[in-house]
Amino acid sequence: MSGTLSALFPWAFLVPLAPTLAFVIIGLFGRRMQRLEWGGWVAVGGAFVAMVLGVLIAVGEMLSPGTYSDRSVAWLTLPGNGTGAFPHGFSLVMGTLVDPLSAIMLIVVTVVGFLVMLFSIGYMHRDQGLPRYYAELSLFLASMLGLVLADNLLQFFLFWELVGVCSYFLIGFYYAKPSAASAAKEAFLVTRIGDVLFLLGIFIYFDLFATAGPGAGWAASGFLFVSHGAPFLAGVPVSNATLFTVAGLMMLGGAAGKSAQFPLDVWLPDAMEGPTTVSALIHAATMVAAGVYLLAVVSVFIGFTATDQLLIVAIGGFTTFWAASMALVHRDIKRVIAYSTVSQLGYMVLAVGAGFTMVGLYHLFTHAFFKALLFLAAGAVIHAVETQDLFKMGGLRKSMRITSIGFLIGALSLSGIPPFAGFFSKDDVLGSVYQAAQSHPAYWPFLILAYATVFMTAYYIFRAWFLAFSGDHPRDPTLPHAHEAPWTMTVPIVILSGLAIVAGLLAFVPQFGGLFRAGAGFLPTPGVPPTYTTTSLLLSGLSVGLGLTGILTAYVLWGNGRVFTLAESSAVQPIRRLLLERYYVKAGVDWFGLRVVYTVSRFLAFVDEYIIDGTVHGFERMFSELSTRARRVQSGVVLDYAAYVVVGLAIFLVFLYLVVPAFPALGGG
Amino acid sequence: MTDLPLAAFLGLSAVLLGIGIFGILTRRNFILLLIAIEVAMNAAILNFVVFGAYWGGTPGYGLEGPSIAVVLVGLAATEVAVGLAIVLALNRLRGSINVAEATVLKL
Amino acid sequence: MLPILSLTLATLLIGTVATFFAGPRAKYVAAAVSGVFLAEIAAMFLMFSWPGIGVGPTHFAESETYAWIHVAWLHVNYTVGIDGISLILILLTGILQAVTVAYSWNETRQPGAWFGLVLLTCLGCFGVFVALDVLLFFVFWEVVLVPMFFLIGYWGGPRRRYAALKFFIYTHVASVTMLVALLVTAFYSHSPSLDFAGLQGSAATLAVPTQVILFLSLFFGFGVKFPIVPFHTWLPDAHVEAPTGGSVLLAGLLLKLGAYGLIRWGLEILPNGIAHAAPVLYAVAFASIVWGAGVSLAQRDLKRLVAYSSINHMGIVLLAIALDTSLGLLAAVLLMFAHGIVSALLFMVSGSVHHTFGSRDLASVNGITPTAPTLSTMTMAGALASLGLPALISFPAEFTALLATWDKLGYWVLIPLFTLVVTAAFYIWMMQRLLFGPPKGIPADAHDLPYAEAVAMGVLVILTVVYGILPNLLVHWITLSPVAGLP
Repeated sequence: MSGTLSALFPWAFLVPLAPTLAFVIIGLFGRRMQRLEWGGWVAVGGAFVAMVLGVLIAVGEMLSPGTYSDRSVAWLTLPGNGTGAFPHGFSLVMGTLVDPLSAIMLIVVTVVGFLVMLFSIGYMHRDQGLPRYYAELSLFLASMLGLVLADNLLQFFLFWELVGVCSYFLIGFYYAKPSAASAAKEAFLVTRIGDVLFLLGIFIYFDLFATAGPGAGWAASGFLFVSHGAPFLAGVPVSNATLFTVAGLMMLGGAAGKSAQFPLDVWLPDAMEGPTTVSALIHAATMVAAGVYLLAVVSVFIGFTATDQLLIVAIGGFTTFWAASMALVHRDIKRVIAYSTVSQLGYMVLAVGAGFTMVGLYHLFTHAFFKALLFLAAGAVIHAVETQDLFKMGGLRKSMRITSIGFLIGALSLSGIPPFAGFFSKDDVLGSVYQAAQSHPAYWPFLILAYATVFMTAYYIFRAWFLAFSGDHPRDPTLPHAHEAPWTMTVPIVILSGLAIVAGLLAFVPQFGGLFRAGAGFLPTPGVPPTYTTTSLLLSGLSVGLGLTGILTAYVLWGNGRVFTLAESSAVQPIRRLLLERYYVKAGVDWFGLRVVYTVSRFLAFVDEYIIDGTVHGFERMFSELSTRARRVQSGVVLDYAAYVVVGLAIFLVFLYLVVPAFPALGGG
Repeated sequence: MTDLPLAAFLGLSAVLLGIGIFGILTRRNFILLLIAIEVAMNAAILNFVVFGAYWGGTPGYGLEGPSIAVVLVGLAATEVAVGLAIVLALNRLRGSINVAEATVLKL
Repeated sequence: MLPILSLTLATLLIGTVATFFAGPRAKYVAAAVSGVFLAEIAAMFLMFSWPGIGVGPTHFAESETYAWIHVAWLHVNYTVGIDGISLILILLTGILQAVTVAYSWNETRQPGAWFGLVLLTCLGCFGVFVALDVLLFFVFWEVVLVPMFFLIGYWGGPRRRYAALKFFIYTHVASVTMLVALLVTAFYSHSPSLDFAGLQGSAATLAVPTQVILFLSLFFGFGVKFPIVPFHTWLPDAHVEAPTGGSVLLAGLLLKLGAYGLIRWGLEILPNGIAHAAPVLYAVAFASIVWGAGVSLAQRDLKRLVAYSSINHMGIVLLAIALDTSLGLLAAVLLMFAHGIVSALLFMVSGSVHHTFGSRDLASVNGITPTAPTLSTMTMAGALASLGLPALISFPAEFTALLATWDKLGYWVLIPLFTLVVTAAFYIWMMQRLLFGPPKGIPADAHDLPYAEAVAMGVLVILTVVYGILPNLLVHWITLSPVAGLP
């Protein structure tokens, strides 16, 4: 059995190829399909094939762990000429890599991808431009799978940018809405800053490995993901630690852009302008997790220096708290979940930074399911009541039973209540950071922030649940009467609910958990999650207690359809306003973009037009003035010209025979 | 060729050039002007012929002098043809071939 | 062996003349000539890679030499030959000639002259890319100016006279400087030879300061064509006034002449010059990169925006050339090809936007996607390719260029890297204004792309994707030539 499944590894490239095919078909015949409403089913089919293959490959990896890589496609080859920086030349290749990391991601991306595609059939049926939607979503899925299977940093970056541009198009799906077009632009540009840093990091790694790496193998391999049984930095004494630190920071920069970590987090809440399905797939489960995946991949294959680790922990820990605080006050259901995503991504970054890569991926795995669940349930609600404002909803528990239970399971999972999936992974994150903090005291403040966030998480997500589902009837009577969603929407919600319950427990299945324990010399010992001791049980108790307190607080303030209003004079009011204004970061970004950058650019354009080109016109005027004067010599009388010729000749002769001999420097004498 | 020194030919050429230039500077009549130009040009042609003969037979030098002279004779003929055409046109246009009055092409 | 280069030159020459006299049927003649030209380019590729053929003593394949002007002390030859660099640029010439003819298929104003001048421009560019003799090179170099002058001056916009004259004067001053520098290099030696190998030999005998001065003069001469800041202001004016076909050739081919000249007649002739003058080139390149991107962001006219972005991209080309490493040179040639294809696409987009909606003003024409979905797709493809999206052609080029920069200059690479964010900003903002948002300024009779224009742009988009996914298709040919392995 295991042999059969690992025979699939060479065919891993077919996984991204299936949605690519769907993309091509929909792109070419999309308009014809709109009438027949086939486009969506083609996309679902592509995603289904990808899911079957992807899960089979992941199971194969569970049964026979190890790394399989195929590097057969030469992408860009520079032959060596024996001199210069690359005397032996190099070859940048494209290939596929199947290992525990990519197996985990394959499951996440293909399963959530398929469910979201299915959900879209019901959710998007009212919209225009469906072929475009399904084409772009299929392209996204293909690129994301390409990223997951990438076997070197360059290929990773290539697909990284492609998922970015798909995200751009899908955020701006309702392009006629100025706010959607603007949010798409913001998402692209903010992540672009991270991408640029990522690119610099790739250059540094490339150089380090191509020119200074150990042995000739490195010169050819460049920045391939090569397994050494331990991260590169752990195995070799490094002469260039500063450069490795800088490169690691650049990776963090890239990850911060994609995974919306502070200070590049501003785009993700605005990205909620896209359809809710897009938010579920791209901005909750897969693409935003790519940043964490990048950090994981780098920490497994190359490794981070201690400085890098501290900074990653700091960014992750701070973002966790920062984003959760903003989720406390917002009224838009999608924005609340979006802030929650940023906050949870912070947990993953925190774990990876603390050296527990697989723990970070474990949280990524469970989070993908319960966050996609929350988004899809929210999507079903939005689909039913046609508003995203929590304060207008209420009482939907009765009319949308499946959706309300789905959302509740997601919320419990997010709050870290056992035995839901989020409990296990979040507990592992907190436990591992606690363990790391024993030897790195600098991690303590960020661990405390992470614990505080557990309370806030439970509070804001149950505030959302109570506002939407509890009570007797909607607070806004003008809302359309809500019905339960069609089967294409409820089936994904039910499946994801199941996964949100069992995904955490799955890790206790030996074969599956093996992916995270990652035997076969794939990971050094620090990657193994903590064993269950008295301390770890106490810590679990602490986080569950904090979660339950959060739920209780939410119930007291918002339960049973109550709406908690803060007195205008309250001392907390300024904080609330600060949070609603998103710490004025958004305003600052807009100010920087529109005022500072644009003004500088206008100034440059002014200089270009009036100073540089003005100088040119100055020369033009000078010459035209001179020539106006000089042309008076041209009397038009031939005899005058003849006279000039003779005089010129005379001057020349005088120069040649009288002046030149007198000055030897001119060549005379 | 050996009878006369090189200087004699060059002197003749200089005299021709002087006559030509004197004519160019003093004549107002277009036809006389053309004749003066021809005289000056003949001085140049003469020089080519003379120097061609003078260096003839030295290694590295061939028939450059005489051949350029032949080209120049052709050039002179062309020039006269064009010049006379202008004279005719000028005469038809203004009824006079006094070059000092022909200034319409001035900017 | 088939004298393929001379044959191609003859084809283009005869084709150009025939087109001039073909009147209303000129487009068919021009299309036929383009087809033959492309076939001949395919033959060149075949002959270039055939083992044992072509790579002559001067490292140039397909080299042909015939005496042209021979007097006692001066030998001017008709010498042509190609290496990997020129081969790729010839391919670009063939592609752009074909798509320009296709794009302007419905040209009705003096079609004979229009297509003839287009062909003549491409003939000149082809000549520049194959000439291996200073005088021959210069003849072709100047041949390019004349048709472009008339293309702008006759078919151009309202300020066409001003733009055409400005273009002509700028480039002419530059080419005179270049010619003088090349001739000085040649005549400094005791046995002046004007062909490439001879020039290399005589340049090697010069004192280093002389080489540096000569190199800087050449840099000015070729740089104006790039164009480099601060000698760039002719470019936006020329583009804004030029007809679309003229803009395509101007951005796609003419700018490449400067870069090609700098490699062939600067870098390879005066290696000591570049070694000492490199800091000047770096400074100019960084200035062009930042300036082009910064000024683009403030532009409201779509065509002006694309023109300034060309300054930015050609700045990266200059940077890659100035690095003087084999990777840098490879990157420069890739970038030239990529920019040729992508800027041609973007100028076609600007042209189509202009004649479909009557204006290119980004503030007054918005939300064209529902009216013209095909045009909108082409715009996106062009903008995304130009901002360096992977899987499109510019990415491998910019990636190698920046990698080469990091290798040679270290953290200076941050300047072009962060300019990439600005580049993304102005393209994304352009798309937001032009394509998205509520429709505004759309005339009632506005329609999607005509067939001819869609075909021309579609070909370019396909090339962008194919070469973007498989850059080795280009890299292989460039690195075949020994010259690209410059130490």
